[in-house]
Amino acid sequence: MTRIVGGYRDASGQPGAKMQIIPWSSYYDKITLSLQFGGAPDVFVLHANHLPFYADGGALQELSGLMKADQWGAEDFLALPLKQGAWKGKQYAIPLDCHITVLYYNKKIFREAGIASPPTNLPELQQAKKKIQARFGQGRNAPWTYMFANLATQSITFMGQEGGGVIDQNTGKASLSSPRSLSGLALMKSLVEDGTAPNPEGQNAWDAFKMGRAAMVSEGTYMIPDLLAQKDLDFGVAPFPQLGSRKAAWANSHLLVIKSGLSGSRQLRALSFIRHLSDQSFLWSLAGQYPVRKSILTGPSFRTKSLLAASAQQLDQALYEPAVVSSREIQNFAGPAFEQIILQGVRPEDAAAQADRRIQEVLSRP
Amino acid sequence: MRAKRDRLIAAAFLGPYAVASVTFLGVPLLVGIALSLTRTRLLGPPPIFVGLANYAAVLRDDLFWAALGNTLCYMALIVPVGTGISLSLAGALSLAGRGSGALRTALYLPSILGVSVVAILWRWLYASDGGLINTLLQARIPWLSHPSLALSSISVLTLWWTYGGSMLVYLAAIKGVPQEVIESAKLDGAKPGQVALSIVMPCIKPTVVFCTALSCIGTAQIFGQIYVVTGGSGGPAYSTLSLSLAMFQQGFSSYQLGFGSAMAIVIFVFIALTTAGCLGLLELIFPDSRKDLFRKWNQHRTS
Repeated sequence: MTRIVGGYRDASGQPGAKMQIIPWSSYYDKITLSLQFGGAPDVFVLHANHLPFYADGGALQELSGLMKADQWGAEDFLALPLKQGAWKGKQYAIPLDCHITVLYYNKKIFREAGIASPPTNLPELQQAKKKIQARFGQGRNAPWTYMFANLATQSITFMGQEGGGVIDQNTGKASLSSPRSLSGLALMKSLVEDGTAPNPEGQNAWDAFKMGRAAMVSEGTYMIPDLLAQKDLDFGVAPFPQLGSRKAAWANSHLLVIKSGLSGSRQLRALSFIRHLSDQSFLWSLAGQYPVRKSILTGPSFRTKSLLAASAQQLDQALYEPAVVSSREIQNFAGPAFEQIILQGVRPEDAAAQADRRIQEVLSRP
Repeated sequence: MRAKRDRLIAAAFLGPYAVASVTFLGVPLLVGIALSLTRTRLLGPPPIFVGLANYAAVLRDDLFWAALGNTLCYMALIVPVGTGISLSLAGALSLAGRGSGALRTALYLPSILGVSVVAILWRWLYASDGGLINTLLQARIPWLSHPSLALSSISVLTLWWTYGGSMLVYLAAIKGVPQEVIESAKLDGAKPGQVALSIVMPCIKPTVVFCTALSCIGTAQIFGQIYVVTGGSGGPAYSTLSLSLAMFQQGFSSYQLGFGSAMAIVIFVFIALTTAGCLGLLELIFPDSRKDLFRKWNQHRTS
């Protein structure tokens, strides 16, 4: 990103842009406070699930008119990521990328266990488990077949593969306790119960995969640079398998937005900067982010140089979280419900119903 | 004239502190109370006065009660165990001969670390795969990722980080106990245990009360280590969620400033009550013991 931003002055002939990197852990607090009390940057990044909060609060510049003035059409964008930048029928953001859950696999373990290719469905995953357990045993030092690295995104993926989700896309109501959502979570729990995976352990699971203690793990594509830094790890990237009744994998996008209240000329300069970032999204893909411009996705650079090229077909199964204003609060309630169901042995119906009640209260708030 | 000059000098010394207190404590407290009576959301519609509705919502919120229960568990684990560890180590250090300075420095070292450093360090120690503790135990115990273990694991981390401060204060108090009292007790045939419990402990009661009160207040506000270790979630499954973290989530994750402020005021009351409770408990354990001790000592001298 530093390279891309640094190239803006040369590419556009405009004054350069000053970039500030803020860790995600405090990013939204800082951006929200700066938008409320002053000091926000002209252009900044939002995750797709955060856009409604800022758009609804009047903090973002609507972009349709600006794009028209800049003669920048939307045809080159993939429809689903572009849709994430819209709120109540207006386009507030340009998607820079899409990061989606993929399956990372340890090629060395696969070779030693005699597994030819990463699993694409549940029977193949079970077959892989048998081969790994036959080769390495099931002792304390044997690698796990699979590990859940990010419980929240994995839960959303599994529920999505059964047609469920935290919020029903049609009714807009909390739906963790719907039969479809519970079926997805039961499927997830069954992998723990049958010894395919241990209980989800977050960062520990990711570290275990990096140390060769797990044959497979799922995480977003943004983790690729972390794995590339692990020189002794021979890993591959594959689409997340279809373990439920349909294909789906949790996804999100970095959206580029302009704060509201800028003068006309400054708005156009901000848009030209966004356009530059979007034009350079092949470089950004090297950091583990799918480009969402069709011309870049089908271009020779991406197809030949990116680790992501082999799994790009799964962009069709990208499962974005529903667009709601209170997505952060909802995460606070959904995450613990997943933990209660998978880790604590609480009756899934009870944990899901409790979370649904809390989420519905938030959704119903004026 | 002199009295007036003294008053001016006093005002000059107290003035800056008073201004800072009003600016950084008084004003935020008043703003917090005012916010707690409104429905306010960052980047949301203008604030609406809702009276005590936020307080009622806090008391109806089952997560608040879960966080309260967890905070009481933290206090039940950290305050007595921490006091015991600090007192024992201070007692041992007071008896140590050569090398006690180096030992004291080594024991105090964890306390100078920042909360993030401590939390990240212990996250590595606790890691299920490749963590030092599990490697030594030849086990795969989910210290931080299982709801029944996580709170205790964070309590151990907190004890390791915080015992050093109290230990130094206790050590100073123990060294301040009049030697003639101890020697007299020894001459009267008191054993080391009796000296510790019947002479030293009553003498350092004010220090114990002071450190325990601080420990109660600090533990009731426990936040940083949970935030770093759990990524701000208070998980798994709310098992480590403390009152301060719950308040932070309302104020800064959800941007519900009114509700978060009401929770902050309730926490303020909770801390005041629990600290008073701790002090009351200490008074039950050592009822006027220091006063009694010196009264007896004086009687002994005059007789």
